Amino acid sequence: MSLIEVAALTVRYGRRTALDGVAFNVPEGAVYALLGRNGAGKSSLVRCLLGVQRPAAGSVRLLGSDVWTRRASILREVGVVPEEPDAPPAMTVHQIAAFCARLYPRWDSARVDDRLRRFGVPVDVPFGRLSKGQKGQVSLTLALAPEPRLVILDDPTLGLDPLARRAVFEELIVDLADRGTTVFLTSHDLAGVEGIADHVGVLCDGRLVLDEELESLKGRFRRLRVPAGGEDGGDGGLAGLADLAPLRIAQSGWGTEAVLTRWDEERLEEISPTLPRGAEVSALTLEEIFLAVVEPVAGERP
Amino acid sequence: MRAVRVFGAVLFREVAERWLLLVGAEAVGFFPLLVPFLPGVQSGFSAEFRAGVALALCFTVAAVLAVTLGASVLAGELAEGRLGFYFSRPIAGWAVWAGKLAGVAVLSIGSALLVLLPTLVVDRRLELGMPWWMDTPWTRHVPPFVGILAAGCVLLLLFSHLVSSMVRSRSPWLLLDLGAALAAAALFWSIRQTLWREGAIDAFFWGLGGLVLLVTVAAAVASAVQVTRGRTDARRAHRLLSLTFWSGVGIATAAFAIFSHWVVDVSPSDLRAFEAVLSPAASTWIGVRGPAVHRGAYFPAFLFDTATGRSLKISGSPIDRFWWLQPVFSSDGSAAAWLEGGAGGYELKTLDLTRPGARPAATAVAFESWPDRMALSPHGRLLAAVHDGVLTVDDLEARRMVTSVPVALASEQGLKMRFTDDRHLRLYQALFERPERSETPAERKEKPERLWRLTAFDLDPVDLGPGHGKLIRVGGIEVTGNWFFWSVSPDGWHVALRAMEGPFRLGDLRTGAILATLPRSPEGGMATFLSDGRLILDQRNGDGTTLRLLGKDGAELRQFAFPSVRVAVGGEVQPGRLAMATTPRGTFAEPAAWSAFLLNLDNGRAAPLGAGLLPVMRDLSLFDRGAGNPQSVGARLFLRTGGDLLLLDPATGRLRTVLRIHGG
Repeated sequence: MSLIEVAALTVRYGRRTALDGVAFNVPEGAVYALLGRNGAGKSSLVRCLLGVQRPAAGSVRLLGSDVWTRRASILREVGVVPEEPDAPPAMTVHQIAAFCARLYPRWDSARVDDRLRRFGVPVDVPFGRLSKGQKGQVSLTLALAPEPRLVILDDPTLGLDPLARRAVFEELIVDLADRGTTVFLTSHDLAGVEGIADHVGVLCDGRLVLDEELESLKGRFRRLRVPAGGEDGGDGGLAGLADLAPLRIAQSGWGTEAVLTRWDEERLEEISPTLPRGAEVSALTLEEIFLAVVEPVAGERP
Repeated sequence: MRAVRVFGAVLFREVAERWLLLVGAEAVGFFPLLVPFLPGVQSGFSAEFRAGVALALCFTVAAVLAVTLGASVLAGELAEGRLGFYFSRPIAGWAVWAGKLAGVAVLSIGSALLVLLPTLVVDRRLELGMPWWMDTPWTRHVPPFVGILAAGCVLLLLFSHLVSSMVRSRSPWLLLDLGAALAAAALFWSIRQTLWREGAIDAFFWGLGGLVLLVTVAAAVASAVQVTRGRTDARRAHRLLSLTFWSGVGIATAAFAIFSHWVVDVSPSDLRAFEAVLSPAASTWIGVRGPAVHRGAYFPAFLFDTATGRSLKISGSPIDRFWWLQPVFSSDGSAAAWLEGGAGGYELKTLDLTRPGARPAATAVAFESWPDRMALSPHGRLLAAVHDGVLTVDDLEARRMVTSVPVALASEQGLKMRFTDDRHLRLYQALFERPERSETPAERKEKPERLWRLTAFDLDPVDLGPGHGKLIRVGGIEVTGNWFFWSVSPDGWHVALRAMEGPFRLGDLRTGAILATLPRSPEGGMATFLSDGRLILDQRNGDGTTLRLLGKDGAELRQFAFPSVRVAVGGEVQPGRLAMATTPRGTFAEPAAWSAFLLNLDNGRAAPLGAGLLPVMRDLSLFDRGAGNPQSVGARLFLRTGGDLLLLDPATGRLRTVLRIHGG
């Protein structure tokens, strides 16, 4: 069962299209990371997921129901960590927790206290006086307290120091391990995401250009480096690799580099005799894949 | 149940976040207790001072909190992107809207009441010392006062929220808001002017009440839509707010416009009574004014042709001239003139009464404000008007002013005028002697009666240019008293005077002599000149009335006694024949209880006209209301039970229905 079903989602602000026909599903138990540059449409998508933004077209269903019409009842099973912590600044953490506890059918007060203690967040200090990292930790604590089936995190590590970032991801991992919560997150911290995500989507200029399991994604992306000096007709000897969908073919003084987006071990063996001597193939990190996808040199995306 | 719990949680959170306001308000509430100890406060009035200060503080706190909290809660949070906290949690949009507004309403109202609390406890009463303009059953005691205070706070909260949302969203929709506000204000002002000029003040305030109610509902619905449908998107929220609110305002204003149109779109058959009838000596046309049915104290005026049934609605009097009756007729009955409000003031319109199907004609005469007096010459060519201390005479055919003369006006009752012929205008000007500057108020109080001088002037306006006319004194009389009602005989040389307290006097303006002084009954009475100059005096005593017929010299000619009945004296339908009605118990509002007859003043015989009939023109001399010419059509009109307006043919003694008014 998919806890998030997004179909043909389009969002417009006046004449500008922020999201253009975006469609994806997040199966129960998955950790889905939505990546994209600033302005790619991630926040608009999150607002649609939370039912605070009405799409111009398409639909968003959470836990099987339309989120625009049934937002309040759906959010009883959903924890949310906003991009900017937005709790009332005059309320203490304790007051905020007490207020939130009245809204949900379940509320694990003991775990809230435990987490805040572990984070070292003072509970009797007004929220507005906490540091940015502490505010993020409070938001995460409140999002996980109602034992939600789905957690939506909108760039939860934005502006946090490395330690705080690690704490956020570790906390998520603990919760995932405990309860198998479905997670949807957007983030610029690709290294952190790579550690926990099992599905990845990449938004570029309002369109979803990638949407697949992380394992599969990493399996089909490779970097091929061909040193200069061979008789290759000026293309680095890559002419025979068209069916491996080379992307970002870049030439420099030392040779040619290409990102292959449909890596096939058998096919490479077939054509390896035609490649110049010294050609190297290596795997890509999620960050490298992301960069290759959102900044294509060849002008096309996989 | 869960929804109510969530609503309660939001409400409680709003109050809890600002609980210090309640503490501060209670601290302010102790200040009125110190007022009696302040220098200059008289000890005997300390409770009144205390209550007054407490009320002033209560209103101030309520208003300030309602406006500031209304502007910041929801509107501020939306503009600053702080509503996401609620919308990312399982809280329904309506609960966010209602909970937050209810929270700040509780804070505003609660703080205001806490300001009052110490004073109420010290005075040990639940009665508020309201200023006179608020001292009503609704505001005198605490429970209804709380309701009014709460309504006021909610109103301020909503509109403060509305304005703040519009301004803080920084969206182009603000331009629509300004445009719509200007359009609504312009439409409202136009409606207000229409009703105000017509004198439909009750209807205006009813409509205004409905408008305020509908606009408040629109504001509440719009803000709810703004939050529940616009959610955290400030611009979208603003768009929804504006569309909903201005749609509501548009509907409410349109409803007000339709209502105001309905109010003023009346015909003579919508009158439920006749307050006044004006009629020239020789015409089938009359001018009527009376209260219109279902329209409160609205008294529309009409020109009505008793021969054909044709009617023409003319502008009523403005509220500050409620006693003024329109139109003025030429004495030959050929023309009527009246004023109609326009953009820059009041314009004179005329109607040719001799031409069937004639339509109102515009003239070159206009006034910035309502004039004090107007009169038409016998054939309707000249119009004399007193306005702003200047008497002007206009030639309506030549469309030019022929003269203007300054006149002194002592009061609204101090001036009468009539054309004696097509060339001459006569002015009657009454002036009280001015008190000596050296007189103290106490001295003035000891000398309530002052010299009152009535002077008659003639003016020959023809062939004079503006500024060249001259008033020539032709007569006058001096008496003492404190106030006078006065009427002038048809020949223009005799005056009947009735002081507020004191006897009737009949005076000769040519000689200045008092011809007769007649005792006045304790219950007042009226003096009415007949067409031949004789005078009818009705004197009321207990349940009965005595009519006294006086000659031109004041000598009593006859008495007519009507014991144990109430008498209505109508008009003179023929020389020496007076329309009358009597009732053992009825009022003017119940024609059914009256029986009408014609009284022959020469032989005392009464010719019955029928039961359930009441003369339309009755008790005419007071303030000159309904002062129709003797023997005119107006004098022959009777109102019958059920609302029929009947015209008496004096030759046959038969009554003919000319109009059916609403309910009689």
